[in-house]
Amino acid sequence: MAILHVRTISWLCAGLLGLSLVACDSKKTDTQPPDMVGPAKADDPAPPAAVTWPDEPFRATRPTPGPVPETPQPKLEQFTLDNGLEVYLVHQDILPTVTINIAFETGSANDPGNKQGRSSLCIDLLSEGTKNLDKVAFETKQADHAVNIYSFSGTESSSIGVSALKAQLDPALDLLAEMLREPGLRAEDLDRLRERNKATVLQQKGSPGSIARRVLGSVVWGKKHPYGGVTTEKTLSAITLADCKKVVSKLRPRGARMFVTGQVTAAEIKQAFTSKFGFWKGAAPKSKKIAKAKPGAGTIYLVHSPGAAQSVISVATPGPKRDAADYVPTEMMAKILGGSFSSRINMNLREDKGYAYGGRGSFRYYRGGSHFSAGSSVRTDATGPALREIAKEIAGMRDAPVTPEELKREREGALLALPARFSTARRTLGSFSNLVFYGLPLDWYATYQSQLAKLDAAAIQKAATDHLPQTGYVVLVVGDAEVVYDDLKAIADEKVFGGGGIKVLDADGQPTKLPEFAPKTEDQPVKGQPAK
Amino acid sequence: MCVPKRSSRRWSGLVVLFGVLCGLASPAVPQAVAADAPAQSASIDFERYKLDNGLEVILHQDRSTPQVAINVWYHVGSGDEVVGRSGFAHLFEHMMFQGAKHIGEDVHFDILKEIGGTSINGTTNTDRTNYFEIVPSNHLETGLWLESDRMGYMLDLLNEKSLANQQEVVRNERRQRYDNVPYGKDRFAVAEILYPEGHPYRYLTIGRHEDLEAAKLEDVRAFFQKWYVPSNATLTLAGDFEIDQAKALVQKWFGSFPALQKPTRTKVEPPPLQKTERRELKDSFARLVQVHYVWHAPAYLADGSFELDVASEVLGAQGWGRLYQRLVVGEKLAQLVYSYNHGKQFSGEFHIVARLKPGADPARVEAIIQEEIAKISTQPITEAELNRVKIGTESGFVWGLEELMSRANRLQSFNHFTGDPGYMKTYLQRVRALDVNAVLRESKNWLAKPRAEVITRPEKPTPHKGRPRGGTRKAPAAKGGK
Repeated sequence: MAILHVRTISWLCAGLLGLSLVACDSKKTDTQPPDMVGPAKADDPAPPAAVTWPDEPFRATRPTPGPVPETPQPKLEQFTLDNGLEVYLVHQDILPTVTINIAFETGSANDPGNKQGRSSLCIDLLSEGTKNLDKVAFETKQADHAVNIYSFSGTESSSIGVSALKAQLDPALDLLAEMLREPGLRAEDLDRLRERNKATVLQQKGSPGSIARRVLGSVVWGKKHPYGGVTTEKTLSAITLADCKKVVSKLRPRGARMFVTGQVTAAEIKQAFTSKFGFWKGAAPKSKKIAKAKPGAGTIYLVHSPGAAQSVISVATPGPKRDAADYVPTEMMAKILGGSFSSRINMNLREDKGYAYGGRGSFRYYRGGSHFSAGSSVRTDATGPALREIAKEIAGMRDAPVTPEELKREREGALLALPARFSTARRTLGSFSNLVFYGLPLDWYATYQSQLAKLDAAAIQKAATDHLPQTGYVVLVVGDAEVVYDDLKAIADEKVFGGGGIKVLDADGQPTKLPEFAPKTEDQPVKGQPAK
Repeated sequence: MCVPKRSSRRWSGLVVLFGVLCGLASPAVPQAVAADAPAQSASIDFERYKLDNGLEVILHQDRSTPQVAINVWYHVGSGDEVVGRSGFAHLFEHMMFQGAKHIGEDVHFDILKEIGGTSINGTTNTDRTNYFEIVPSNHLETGLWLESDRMGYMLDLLNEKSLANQQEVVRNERRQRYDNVPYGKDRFAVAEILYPEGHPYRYLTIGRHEDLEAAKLEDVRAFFQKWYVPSNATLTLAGDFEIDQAKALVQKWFGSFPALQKPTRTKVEPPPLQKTERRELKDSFARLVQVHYVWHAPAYLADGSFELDVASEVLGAQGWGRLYQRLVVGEKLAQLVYSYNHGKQFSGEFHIVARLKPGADPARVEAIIQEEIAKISTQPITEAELNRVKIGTESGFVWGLEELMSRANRLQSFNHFTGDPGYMKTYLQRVRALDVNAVLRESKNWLAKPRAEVITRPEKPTPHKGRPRGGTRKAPAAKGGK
């Protein structure tokens, strides 16, 4: 067996180069006993009108927190199996559960242009059955042991894995091994899944939210870019069983990563994989080099969704890579702009204007870059105004430093919420696997803390001016063109997001024409809409 | 060997012994093992007590990570709404985030965010309204300050502007979740068939636009005074605290609140359907035909509900369920099919939903669903099917113990419905005691009766006739930026 590292990842407070961290200041509290106030008697309920609620002075003051508690250091074990599979294990002994996820660096980014959807379809096919167990038999066998075996593919990562109670780990691994050794890969299953995916595409094209999710990547990155492909009925039809066999045959262990958590030890994992997965050899696929996204041309892309009660809006721009030196200020900037309920976009669109149920903005990271996207699902008549508010909020991040309250809220909040990322073994492993995915060092959270502690408003403003351009955004609107077009036209003419004009797309993201609308008459209040 | 070791470092307050699952090491065909299973398989340690004002407190200690989940259930939901005010319980939930006397207006999230709070939210269903957050354990008192202030002093900052704003927000929520999505109309249609005018389940928890618009400040005051009294709430703390210290803090922040009458809830049982009622809907967002059958079913945990849970799994389980096998794998007529039994406070609903492949014949799909309903109501399911459901249920409970907040909600839910936060033990005993004849009996009892049938068909949207739909042309003037 290869090297075994058992490491305690030092990431919080103690041992951190003596850094003085906000989160680590053991704020001294007065440990006086809390005021004991005589309770009202339970047997003399007064009628509501006569009720007086106590208003003790202590209620007016926010309580002082206790000393920052000691946080257990997460323990991550790393080792490599004989077949080259790199294992990351977080052990826990509280619950009799085990999860295993084997991740490969391949996904839809590797799909050829005319076969978009190949990776997802073919890797779904893998867990449809084995040579000896058809779909129903394979599922039944899993259910008989209350285990779940899965395979799926995302943009740049594909996974196979299993979750099981500890007592069922052995049969679970037997089934997983059988799936890898002798996958079913039946033509009839491929056809069924292909038809399912085609029907999914068909349905997605009817739903404004799905259309936006489907098309956004293509307008930000470009349809030919690995992150911009759009799966259509046509690309799905082009995928063959031979394609799938090839995709599946690339799922090999050497250089792939296996993330394990639960009531299981390194020795048990090694033993199980030696005895059950001896057949599994070869090199895992390597991720490919990804071209940068081109800056947006300030175009508003409009997809017409007749009768939509809301418009799904996104304002997007390409962003930096996840391992950029200014990641922390960039991330905090995005959080203040759109990262939470308290963010400027949400407080504006929802709590101030009442345009939406919520609004957010964030960077979506890929291995090869990112894009920022701010968006919301807004009342149809508020589409133009909401876009203008988002533009204002973006400009606000560039033009002035964030307030001390915002800085404090996000910086201290991020530091103090760190233990939440490690509160269970599964979350702990998730936090580390995320680092592994982006090629970041496993002690990254220590760096994160020290950078947060140093963070100031100037760095955040610099991140805004560096990564939120003054102009040249990609705007996507999925909504009722008949209602929203004039407002969008005005925004385009004023070059609020840049000078790219309006381009009308169909639900596949292909250029199309604006439908002819009947002539407009007087405005009338409309059912289901505010008469304001 | 079936007893897992406890956390080597710190006690987690969880006990998980293998019950049914232990007997299943490697059977080729699972056997009924319920009879000899130990009485207890999974449980959560807790202590429950009441303050003099009637506020219930449940403490679950888990010192493994320095966090506390704070979770308040008010025993009121949309099932307590009155005619003309559908959606009000949920609108009220939104108002609980708008501020209270001592914490200030609309800063609840800001404060929690700044102290490292996570999982911050509130939810409303027919039966209860809950509010929750996870805070670093040294900030437990800040969390109690926030929760006590809105329990005691929410009306102090209540104002017209914030109500008007949240009415609009909730209407946007309805648009986002129901009005602007495929199959959103279906859910309203089902409820309208099952529940007559006047029944609080008729317009769903989200409610009607016109009722949401009609809500007044007096409604908010009256609802608060009736339902949000300490004696109608249960506060659960789960996580890292000293028991005595937690009790003292709860006493400090909630103990001096007045003892007010616990409101009585009126159970409204829906009248049985006299005959099967069918609705055909056109949906401009849908691209696939959907068939949706619903029967009245027992209330949550009531007699018969466990058996119908089993029936829904046997029919609808993904992969091995009978309908899945026939409609998705066998005849390939359906894009998806699922079935679930949803017990609520007053009554329940048993659902079957099939979404069809383009071109599939709806009549054939309905015939298959009807055949399977007839079969499960006339012939016992197999022991293998029953066991699959049993171990799946038991295993699901174990997975559900992982997160602090799901443990808090688990204790709350059982406390709300049975008065015993530790009902999990009884629940699992009831699961293990199920037999195939009982499943047959209850399937026949409930599924052989008339039902609601809602068929959704894609609609080509008609071109607008002269004026825009879905929105006035001019946006309302902005109320002034921040």
